[in-house]
Amino acid sequence: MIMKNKMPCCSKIYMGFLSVFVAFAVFVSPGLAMEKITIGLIPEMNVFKQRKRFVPLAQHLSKELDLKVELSILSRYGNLKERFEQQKFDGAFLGSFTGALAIKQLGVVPLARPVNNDGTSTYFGYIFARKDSGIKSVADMRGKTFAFVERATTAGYIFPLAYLKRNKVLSLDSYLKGYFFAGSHDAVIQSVMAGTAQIGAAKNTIYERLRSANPQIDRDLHIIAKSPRVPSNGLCVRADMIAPLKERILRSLLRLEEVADGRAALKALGAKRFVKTTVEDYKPVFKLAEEAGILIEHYEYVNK
Amino acid sequence: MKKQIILAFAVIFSLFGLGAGVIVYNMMNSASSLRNLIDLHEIEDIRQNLNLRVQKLQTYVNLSAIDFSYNIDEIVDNVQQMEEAAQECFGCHHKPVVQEELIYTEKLIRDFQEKLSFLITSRSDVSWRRQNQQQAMKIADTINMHVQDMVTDAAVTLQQKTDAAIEGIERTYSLLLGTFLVTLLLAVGIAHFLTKRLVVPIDELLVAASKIADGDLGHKIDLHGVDEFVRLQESFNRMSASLVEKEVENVELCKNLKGRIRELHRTQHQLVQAGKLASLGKLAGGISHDFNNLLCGIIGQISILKRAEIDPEKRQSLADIEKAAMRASQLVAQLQTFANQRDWQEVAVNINSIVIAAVQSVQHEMRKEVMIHMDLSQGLPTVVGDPDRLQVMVRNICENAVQVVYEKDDGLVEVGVDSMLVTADSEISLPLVPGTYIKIYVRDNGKGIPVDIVSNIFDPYFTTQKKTERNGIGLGMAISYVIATKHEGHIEIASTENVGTTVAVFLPVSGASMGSDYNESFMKNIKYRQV
Repeated sequence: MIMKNKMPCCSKIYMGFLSVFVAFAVFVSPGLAMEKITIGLIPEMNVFKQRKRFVPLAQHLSKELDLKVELSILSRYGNLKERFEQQKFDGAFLGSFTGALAIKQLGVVPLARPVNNDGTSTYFGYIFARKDSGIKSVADMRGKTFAFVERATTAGYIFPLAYLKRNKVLSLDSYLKGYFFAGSHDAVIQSVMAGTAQIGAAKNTIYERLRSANPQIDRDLHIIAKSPRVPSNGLCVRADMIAPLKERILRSLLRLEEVADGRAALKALGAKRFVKTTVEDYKPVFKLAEEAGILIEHYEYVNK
Repeated sequence: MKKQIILAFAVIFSLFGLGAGVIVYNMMNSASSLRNLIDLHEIEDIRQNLNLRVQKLQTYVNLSAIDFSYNIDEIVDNVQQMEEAAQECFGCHHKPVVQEELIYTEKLIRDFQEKLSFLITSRSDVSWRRQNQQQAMKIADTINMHVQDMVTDAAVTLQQKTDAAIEGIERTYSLLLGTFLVTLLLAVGIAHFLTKRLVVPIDELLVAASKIADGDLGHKIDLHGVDEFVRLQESFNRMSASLVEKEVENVELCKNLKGRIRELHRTQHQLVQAGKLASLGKLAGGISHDFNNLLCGIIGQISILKRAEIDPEKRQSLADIEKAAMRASQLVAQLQTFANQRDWQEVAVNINSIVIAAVQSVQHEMRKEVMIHMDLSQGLPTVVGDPDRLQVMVRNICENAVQVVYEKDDGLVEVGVDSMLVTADSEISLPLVPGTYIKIYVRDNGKGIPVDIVSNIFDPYFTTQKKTERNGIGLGMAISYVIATKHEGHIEIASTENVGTTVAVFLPVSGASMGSDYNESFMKNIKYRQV
């Protein structure tokens, strides 16, 4: 009689349970091990409004991911790198330039960005001036005060810098009477409206939003130049975030329009939906930075 | 009364309901005020929260960039919550004035947020920063003052509402107490009124009922009061009158019953007596006939012997024998009378004559003078009957009376005749049909007859006398009984020991009228009264 070595029935059951447990541990438990994730927000506009815009999205993601999604707003663009490096952020909604910076310097991974109500998922920058200042071109800007947003914004600095350089303005200090960094796009618009600066640069989405709320903007200001389109502020996450979580976050963002909470979050953001974003989408930013004479990989900045 | 009770309770319940309604209304108002106050106190936290956060605003304005950098989330949260606290106020305050103030506060907060955001985010242009800082400070001051004013107003309003609520509670308490007291007084008054209206007539009824129970049948209550009690009183009076009528009827019935019982006893006695007499009569009849035949033979032989020549001694013996035989013959005749073997005559008889003849017959045979007093009435109606037998009847009775008083020195026999009318409502009951009767009485003052044997007087061979030649064998009263009843009359005896005896015979007169209410009941309760 030949005795065959057969695995006993109970052993098979045991192995089955063990496999399930390991798979659970590998694929699920990391998510469970993380109780919260912190998403950073850049101060592109009034920080209070900025925070308020993203609260519905954070609440929706908390439900979808079964994690607590906290928002943390930066007081300035410059804190971004520091926060990522200190592991206080798991991700952030980054502007086009800060996104490009983070991609090059921190290796963050872009996941998705919102699509505007007009169907575009990009934005561009405006250079605008007071109508009563008589400024219509770069030549008129000599000896005037320019309000920038931040050294790490595309529409608020990189674009106007590239535009001025394209128009042979190599030194801001010598060409302009003065310039300052208002800190946010709406602050730039407000400062030009107030007459603190004669020229300003801000992203079109915020300009349009303030303009629709305040008709005085149309009466007082006029657009001098527009930048090429660059990707709108999208969510970039840490390079070391586990893939399953990245996947879940991406899936949640791409399916926002399918659920009521998601639609409410999109409405608060002023967006139609989210689309997948890759490093390729940031090429226009890299080009603008090059035109402005900035090496992104080594770009260190301090606002004046 | 029912209406009054219903009305009274309706008044009480209406008053109570009205009071309760007002109290409940006030309580609801008070409860609502208290709820408002509780809500206002609860949202005091909101006001305090708002106040606290507003006071922090001014500190934010003076923060450095580094402070902003490290505390921005906290600052943003705080300002956000301040905005939300102001928003919460909208949920409670609806007065236009307060709404306007809240709207203005919200605007100020938004302006402050804008300025603060500029301060947080901008890093250059000191003058621009300073300008924004001053503006922010000014806005913060304005917000602070405004919120303080609102908080103060709210506190004053809260105090006013608290006072009003306390006042409302006290008013409710007073209303409750007042309603309770008024209702209590009213209830007591109504209870007293109703009690009086109920208890007094009931007490009267109880007293009246007690009186009736004590025998005052026919007692009536004065009618007074309300419908139900008047009806009750009327019913009571009717009941009382009915009791009297029933009592009279019952008395009447009782009398009738007693009469019937006496009648039954008498009839029973008579039947028994008749039975005895009938039995004995038969026996006597049988014997008397044969004995009479024997006596006839003896008397005939004696007559023959008397005609023969015999010596005087033997002639005397014959005379004695003839006397004895004649006496025996009389006795037989009595027996035959007793047995109804001889024909009865029906002729109009003058009782006075019969009595006189009977008394004379008795006196003739008495060896001693006995006082016999006769009381005869003139003009009496006649009696239809057998004069010989009637005389025998009277004679037998008189003989008995004479025998009883024979040995007394003051012995007296009274014999009387009178007429009397027997009616249905006469006091003394006699087993006689209503009508006119002749009463024959024989009264002696002898030793009387003991009570236990008086009922046997009319039994044949019953005698209270010693057996002597003079005294009979005890058939006299039995024969008198037969004769009286044969004449549709009645004989009765009344005796008192050591006083005397009275024997009375009642004989209907010829053409005696029967009463106008002659029917089955006339035999009951037949009384007699002297005419």
